[in-house]
Amino acid sequence: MEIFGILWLEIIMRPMINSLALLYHFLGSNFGISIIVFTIIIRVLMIPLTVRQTNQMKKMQAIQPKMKKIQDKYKGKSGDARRQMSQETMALYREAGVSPIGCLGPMIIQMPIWIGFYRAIIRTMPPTPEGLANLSGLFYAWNPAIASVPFNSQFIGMSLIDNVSVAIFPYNFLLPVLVGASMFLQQKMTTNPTTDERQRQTNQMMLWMMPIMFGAFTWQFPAGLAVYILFSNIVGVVIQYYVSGKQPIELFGRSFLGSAEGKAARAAQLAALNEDSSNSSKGSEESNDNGQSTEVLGKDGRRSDRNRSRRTGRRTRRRRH
Amino acid sequence: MLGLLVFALVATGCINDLKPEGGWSSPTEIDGNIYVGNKDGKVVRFDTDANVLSGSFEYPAGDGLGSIYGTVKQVRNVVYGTGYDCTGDSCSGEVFAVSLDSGNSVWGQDGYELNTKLVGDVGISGSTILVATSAINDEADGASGYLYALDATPGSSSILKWRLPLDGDAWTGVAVDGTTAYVGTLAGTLYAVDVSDSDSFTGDPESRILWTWKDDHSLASGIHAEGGLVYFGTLGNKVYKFDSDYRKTADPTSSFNNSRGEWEYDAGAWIWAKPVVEGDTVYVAAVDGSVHSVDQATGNENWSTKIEGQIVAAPALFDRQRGDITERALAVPSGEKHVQVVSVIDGRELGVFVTDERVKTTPLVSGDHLYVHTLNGDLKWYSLADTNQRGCVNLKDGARCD
Repeated sequence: MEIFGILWLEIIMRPMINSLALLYHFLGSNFGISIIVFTIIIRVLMIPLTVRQTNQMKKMQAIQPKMKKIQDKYKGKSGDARRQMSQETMALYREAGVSPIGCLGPMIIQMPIWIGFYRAIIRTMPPTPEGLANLSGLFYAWNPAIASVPFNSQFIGMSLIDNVSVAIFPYNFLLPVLVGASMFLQQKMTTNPTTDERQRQTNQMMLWMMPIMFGAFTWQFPAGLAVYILFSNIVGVVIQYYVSGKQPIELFGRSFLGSAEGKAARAAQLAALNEDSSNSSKGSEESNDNGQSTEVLGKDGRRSDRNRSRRTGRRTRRRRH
Repeated sequence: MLGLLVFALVATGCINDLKPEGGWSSPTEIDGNIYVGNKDGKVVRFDTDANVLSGSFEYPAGDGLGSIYGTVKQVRNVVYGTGYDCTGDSCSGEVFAVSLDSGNSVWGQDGYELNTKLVGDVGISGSTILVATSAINDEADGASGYLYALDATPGSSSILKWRLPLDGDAWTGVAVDGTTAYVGTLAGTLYAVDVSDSDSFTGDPESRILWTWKDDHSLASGIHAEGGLVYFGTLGNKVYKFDSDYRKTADPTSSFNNSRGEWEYDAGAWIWAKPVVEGDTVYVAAVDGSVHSVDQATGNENWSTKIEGQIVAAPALFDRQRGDITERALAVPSGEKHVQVVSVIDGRELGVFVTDERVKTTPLVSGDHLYVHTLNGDLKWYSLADTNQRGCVNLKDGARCD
């Protein structure tokens, strides 16, 4: 285990701590600015990973109708049929050039960077004697920033190492709200619409739950971490906007921003989804008559009248032709 | 999504990095007993005859103060010190004055509360206890740090005598030489302050400042003050010797004056440990594990050596005996799991006290034993004649740990 500790320290922590300290040294001894600039640098360096993740998600979305067909085909079956289903699914992945963990891969790579960055913030501005003493051993010998220790933790009237909960008004309320809102926006942009009802419900729950949860966590985070998360989200939103081809941002039934090409691409995406959903829904209802509902999205991304009527209990059933 | 959740959990777990750990309180001997601040932020008493923790003395009786970083100081039958707890810069601290007889505060039920970080030793001058602080939490427009002068008299109705604003967090503790107190700040300023009880100081506390000296780097090391001479280290790798009388007339930013016996010495790494002065030699330990012997008069290096570890506490001088041979030696708290013994003659390694736990406190030599407060909260003792004769007690529950 010790080797992992050494690798973590030498590959993640020390480079980050020294980079943050250097930025502090050259950016007017302002640690808040250092955090923001470093966040931007990190997010920009991770753009290839973001692009890869987005492409994987798009491909995944494109094969969803075929996936659904395979799942329907083997529904309620077990044994060899399940193995057959797995083989067909894997073949579909290969054909589409999708890795089942392709979406998770970039996120897994980003995790140590996020965690390392957080720890780097705390260790670069240690509030305790032991933390300050330990900092001496983390600097590279050539780093001139060691002369600036201890770093000033004040930023726009708040201490970056203090919990957000004890920051002065309005930061104590503003930071959690902004973190939650920016996270919601980022989630909204990275969550693709789906025809699968269960998936849609899961997406919807995560879309709201994660920002609320993180907003609540932020209350007990050091303000420096909150600043980092906030700007990481903001930069993430900007990057996602460009990576996804400047598609419009849809919030509460309204569209914001978006280029003409982006709007057209989005409309086409939703139309295709709607068409697939209609076919899938028809096939599904023809094959089983259990009354399960499948949401169908309109061209504007809203639920169709047919689904709305189902929600109000006016269920209509088609006869077999 | 899972990633975000893991991140949240890890981030929440790492909040502990914001809290002081303590375990830096060096043991001190008073009337045959050892007093030390334990990891719970309590002052406890160890009976050196019976080698047990005294059950009749523990302050405070309920929850501890958090972390105690300084060594407790004694005046007559009262011990003084500080403890505090924090998350980030949001802190609650207490200056305590505890009767050795009763184990209770001599100021009433509790000590003197200060919502700030309290790091380093307190200073004692006559009936005044001097405490160096960081900024006070509930004072939005207050100074970055203070030197507090409190009335050490038991039963005093008005504890606060005066307080002097400082330009930064004061983690050096307070050193007293006669009626002059010395305190340094992380902003890099050393203050020499008149702490006498003269009536002429009833007004502005800043009129007590005798002289200041400003460095480009932080001061965190303990200060040694004796006979009008001041020795201290900085996070700029330097150790300084100043003549207090000369400094009263010198420019605050002026360099050392060789003709007055002042000097600087470059130790090559941050200095956190208080310099140790004996005879014509100053011993300096740096956070990179280097130990230096410096000529007290000139500042020239006699020798230097390096041990493995991170030294933040001053070494202890003692007479090492092996058979008929007695040799003056330094017991150096390495910051790792041992106390290194080096010769004061040439820095040669003479031996080692293996502690099994990290050591960030100055060892105490009492009688024919060496006592060490380890970072995990144990008190370990070793026979100076035979390091195999040893013992260990946990300072929280008194359980033996040998």
